[in-house]
Amino acid sequence: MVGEKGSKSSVAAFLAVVIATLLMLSGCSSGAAGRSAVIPPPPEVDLDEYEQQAPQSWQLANGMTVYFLYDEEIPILRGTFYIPGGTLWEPQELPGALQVMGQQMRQGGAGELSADELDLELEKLAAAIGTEYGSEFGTISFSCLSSDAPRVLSLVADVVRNPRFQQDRLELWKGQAFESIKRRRDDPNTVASLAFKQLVYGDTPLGQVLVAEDVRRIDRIDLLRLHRQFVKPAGSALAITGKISRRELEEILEKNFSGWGGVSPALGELPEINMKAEPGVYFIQLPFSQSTVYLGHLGPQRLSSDHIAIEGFNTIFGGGDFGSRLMKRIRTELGLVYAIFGGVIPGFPVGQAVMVLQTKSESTAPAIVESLDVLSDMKDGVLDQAELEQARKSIKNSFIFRLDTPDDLVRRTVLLKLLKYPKDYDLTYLGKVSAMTPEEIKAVAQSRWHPDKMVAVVVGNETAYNALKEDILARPDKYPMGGLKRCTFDQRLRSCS
Amino acid sequence: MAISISAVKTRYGFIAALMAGVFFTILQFARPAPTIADDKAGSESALRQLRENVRTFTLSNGLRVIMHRRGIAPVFAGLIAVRVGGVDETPGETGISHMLEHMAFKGTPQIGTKNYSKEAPLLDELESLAQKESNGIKLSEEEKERLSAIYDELKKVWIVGDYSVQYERRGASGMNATTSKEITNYFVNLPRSAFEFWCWAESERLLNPVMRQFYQERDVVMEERRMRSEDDPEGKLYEMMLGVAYLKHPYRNPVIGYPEDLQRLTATMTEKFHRKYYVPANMVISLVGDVIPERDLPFVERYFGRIPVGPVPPRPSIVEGDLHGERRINLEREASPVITIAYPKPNYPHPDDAPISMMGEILVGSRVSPVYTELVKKRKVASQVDYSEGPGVSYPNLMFFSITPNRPHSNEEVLNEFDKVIEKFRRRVVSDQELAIAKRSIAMDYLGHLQSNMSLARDFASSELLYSKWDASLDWYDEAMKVTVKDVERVADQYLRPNHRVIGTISNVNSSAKSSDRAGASGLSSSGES
Repeated sequence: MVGEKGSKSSVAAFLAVVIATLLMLSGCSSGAAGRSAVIPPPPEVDLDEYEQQAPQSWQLANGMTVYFLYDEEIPILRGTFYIPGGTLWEPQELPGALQVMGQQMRQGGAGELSADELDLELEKLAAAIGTEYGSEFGTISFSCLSSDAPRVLSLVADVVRNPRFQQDRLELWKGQAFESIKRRRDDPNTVASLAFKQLVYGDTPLGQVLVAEDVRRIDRIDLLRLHRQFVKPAGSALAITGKISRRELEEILEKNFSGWGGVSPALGELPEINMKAEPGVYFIQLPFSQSTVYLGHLGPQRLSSDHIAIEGFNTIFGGGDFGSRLMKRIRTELGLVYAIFGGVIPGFPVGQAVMVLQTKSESTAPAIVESLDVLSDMKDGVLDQAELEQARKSIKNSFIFRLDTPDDLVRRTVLLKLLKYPKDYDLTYLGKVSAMTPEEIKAVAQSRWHPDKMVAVVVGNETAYNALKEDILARPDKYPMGGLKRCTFDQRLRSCS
Repeated sequence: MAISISAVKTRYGFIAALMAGVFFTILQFARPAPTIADDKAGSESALRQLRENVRTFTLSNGLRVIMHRRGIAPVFAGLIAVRVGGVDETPGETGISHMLEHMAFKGTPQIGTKNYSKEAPLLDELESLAQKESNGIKLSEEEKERLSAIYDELKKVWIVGDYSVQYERRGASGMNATTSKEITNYFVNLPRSAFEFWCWAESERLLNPVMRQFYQERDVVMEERRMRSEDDPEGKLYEMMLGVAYLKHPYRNPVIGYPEDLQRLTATMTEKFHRKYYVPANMVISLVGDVIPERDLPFVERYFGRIPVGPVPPRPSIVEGDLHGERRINLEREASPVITIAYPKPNYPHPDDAPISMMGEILVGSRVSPVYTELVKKRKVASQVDYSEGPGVSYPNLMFFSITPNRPHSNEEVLNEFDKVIEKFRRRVVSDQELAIAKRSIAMDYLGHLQSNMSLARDFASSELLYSKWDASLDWYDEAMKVTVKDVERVADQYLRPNHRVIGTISNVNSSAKSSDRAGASGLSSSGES
């Protein structure tokens, strides 16, 4: 079915050229005549429904599911393999160990191959394998020439099933980690985002910021143990696209993965995540000419009852591009920022509500206050039908870009499944967007944002500190989160006073 | 290095440049990194098909159009490339092409305003006052009051953000623009249903961008400059290195502009610059995705055909002389040490360009490459090494080796180790395996870029604009695949000369204060943090 596409499109392309050449001739005369005429905008057209390809899917006996979409455009195979379980459930006494395990699955050698041999083998094939563990699952992504699929998928299987975790590679990684931890202070955005994460998520896996001491503590034995505990086939899902037949793919996967068994770990209780940090302005003094500001607090879990309204809110408030209120006000009208963002970002088991901006030291206070004003206007001000319609249209018409390439489409299918979205989520989505009301969006502003409970992290210089201090004293009502604290940042946020 | 690589030679300098864009996304949801190489027959047929399927046209006013149909969804990437950038700016007006790129988002007489006939005279009056200020003349109290009254009036007619809003409601994704040394790109992904709108909106702003909110936007660009250069040590170092690598050539000036120049830019200057450079023969339209010439070309002609013809502005012909030795520059900053070594090289279509990129790939491109193996894996003096080419694509440029030292190793130690690797490489035979690995890696990157509408659109447009050949990058790719071991050995000998390079370093103010053996006037810090 998919295989026929190529021949059809080349015929169409041929016809197109013939016709277009004819058109060009006529175009010449008309173009010269009506050149500088003012042309009014064309009528607004929405996208018609279109036929979307669906990935094929099958399951291996060990519980691993495969989602596959044939794509013949170029001879490349791309895959992402998702394994449930992540840092949310990692042992509390070894922060970071699961992340390192994930990273070292690829780096430390696998199966018959030492780390150096694996590197060389992949370079020779011009294939890539990347492994990592996030908060909810591990991912193994890979790409290779279609003709190398048998070999590369056997290497992927080794990386997943039989990583060696070579000691020297762990040491190499540790050296690099020490260096990158020390370099955090060179980048204001790194400092501010890490400090914000710590304050919002606190002493939980989501708030984890690794320091040298944590890195030092991780041993090869831990990696082996975590691998045994976490990397299991049950519930795992492989998203794969490329120029390969289903039969061949099935055979390769059967050969490399069917012998892989084991019981999935009982993941245990989710940690309870409450924001323990006191509201306030947390100032970290570093010699940058711009202040970097993160302000916000915890946010809702994914698929909360208002999750559609949240998307509408974000589009209007500060998640869209230039059309959002934050952009229009703080950047275009006031010229205070180049970069600004604001929105509710749902997560698991909790998310965050956050505003981020960068502005010159002197305008730190006005940029914060004006941004908070834009937020209060979302809560109490007018939200007219036209603005809502704009948000609806923008969400609906851009929806297609979530699945416009084979790779996007198949990975989205897997992720929705893995994250337990309702089966008809995408099918009913646009209808729900159309039904969104101004009241629902206002409710998001009111129930998901609490300026008096916010932490505001500001990374900036002495000038910024003084200006902010003065402004807080002068008009405390503009800073509902309350007072100003000075904090130190050494590898991570340390003490505040 | 703050070099963002675009289009053609993914990791190499073909169309790489320090880009200053109109929009910056803070939250980036990263996708797994693509890579991979060549199934000989398969990749050859993919490239052959590309050559066969791409169609090119020229509108009645000389504007060139490239169209390529591909993909699985009713969407397309629309891109306009203008042959203008940092190299076209004269002293005192650096940053003007980028400023104009920002202004192109402010609308036109039909977009961004409730009443243009009311707005236009107000903008004129505002401009005469603003010009006074930009010339350093203080405004009288009366004039200040008038200025503020004008703004009040303007706010009543402006529809802030209208240009973007109209795009967003039609489903625009990834709408942005970038300015580099040689090219300004405007691009967006849209559903097919917005094709005619795209033609209208883009031709509107190419034809008649209105300089509204100009002076607020100048402040926005100053913020962008702070982020990219003042507060980013590596961005700052890059700017400084170009300033010593090029003494005459405009490559020495930052695309985003010097702050003093930015403060003097006016709407009038920017309008004049627009009229000179935004002429049909100096632009290319590139459309990739669900586009069919027979259906879509009439719209392109109708809207873009109205842009008036003008002469193609010449490019500067300044030739930068030889380096005559090694040049060093140090950025004193409370930041971690970094060292970048840059060697001059010719640029495409010079026949040495492809062999040099291949050499860069062999030296640094993989985990089995000599620089990575020696500095990171064995000696552990560095935690990271990078290779890139820049700052532009039309004139002789530089290959950059950027190295992140591992504490406690100093920049000087890293340089010693780097030089040992390079000297050994220049004296030894390059193996067939090394070359084969590098070729496959380049091939894989190249093939990967064929899977993105936008990446193809940018590639075609840049190639056409700079070389009058939409498939110049395919030619480059063919050349790269023909590079021999002898070619690599020859360019290594010819271009990696230790007495013919620019070295840039960042040294930590705090730790160098403690160190007694600073490298002195050369400025190369020998201090590391202990």
